[in-house]
Amino acid sequence: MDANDDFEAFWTAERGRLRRALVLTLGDASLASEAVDEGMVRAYQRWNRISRYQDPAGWVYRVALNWSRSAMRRRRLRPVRRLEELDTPAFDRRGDAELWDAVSRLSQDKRAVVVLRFYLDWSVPRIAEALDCRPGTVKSRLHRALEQLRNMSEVSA
Amino acid sequence: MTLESQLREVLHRVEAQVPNDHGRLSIVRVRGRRRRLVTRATSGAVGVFAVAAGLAVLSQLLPPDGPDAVGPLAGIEAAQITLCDGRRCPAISADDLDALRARLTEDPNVVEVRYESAEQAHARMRGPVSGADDVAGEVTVEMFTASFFVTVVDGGQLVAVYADDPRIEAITVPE
Repeated sequence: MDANDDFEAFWTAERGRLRRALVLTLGDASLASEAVDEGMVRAYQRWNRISRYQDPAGWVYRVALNWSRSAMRRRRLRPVRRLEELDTPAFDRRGDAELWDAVSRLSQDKRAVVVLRFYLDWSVPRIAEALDCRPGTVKSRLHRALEQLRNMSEVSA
Repeated sequence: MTLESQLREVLHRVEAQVPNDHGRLSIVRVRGRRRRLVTRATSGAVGVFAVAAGLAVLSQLLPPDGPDAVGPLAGIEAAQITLCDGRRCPAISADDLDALRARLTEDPNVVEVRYESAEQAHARMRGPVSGADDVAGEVTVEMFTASFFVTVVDGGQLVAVYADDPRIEAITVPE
């Protein structure tokens, strides 16, 4: 398998999942698509090096998230907390809509760790690697996010 | 049910509503020098505008003064866009360039056509990719109706095409 085939396999396996995680994190499907493609292009340009990383997908996620922050600054966009395309998810359990609303109110840093942990099921060390921070930081953001979600749920109840 | 397990369910339920953007990847070979061109269009339904953007990008690959011209865009004589249904857009010649540029500029759906120098592109990328000559230039086309971009990198040997239009199967440059 040459480098192109290798990258193509990576792209096929990871691009959709990363894009969906970024949609949940950013709340903007178009921005998420652009961000993941930007991350993928940069991975492709450096594929000889990136492919040897333990977690190339984590690298792409981090690049995409950083790129989206810069893009939002450039375009003077504010992080979007509602998803226009997703405003009527088929919630059938009482409290799910409130919980999603609470998730969308989290800061982007907290939402990122929540999405990576509970949507992609990444381990704390893997999230730390992807976000370029210490595992302790991930744990503390997760703890605070869950605490905030519990408080918000209690208030809305 | 714990908050954690409820979160998992909610995130997957919301994720299931995320629309597919039909991302596609093709990597084809191209003869020529190293260059990197990107076109990006944002959001919305697919449409003919994606093809127009592709034409615009490919037009940047063509030598402005014919195939024998010397310059960063020299060496490629023609380009071809193939749609998923097998139809091919007409090959693009150097004569088409002005018309394509005018079409993009006048199209009300095109919100911006921006050309960046290599230096600007490097600055945007926050540093050289793998050498000062790696980026020959960049064109960004932003539109309402489609999303895809084309990247040509390194030694002119590879073209990466990311298309967000299911009708675009590949953009190839004949060797």
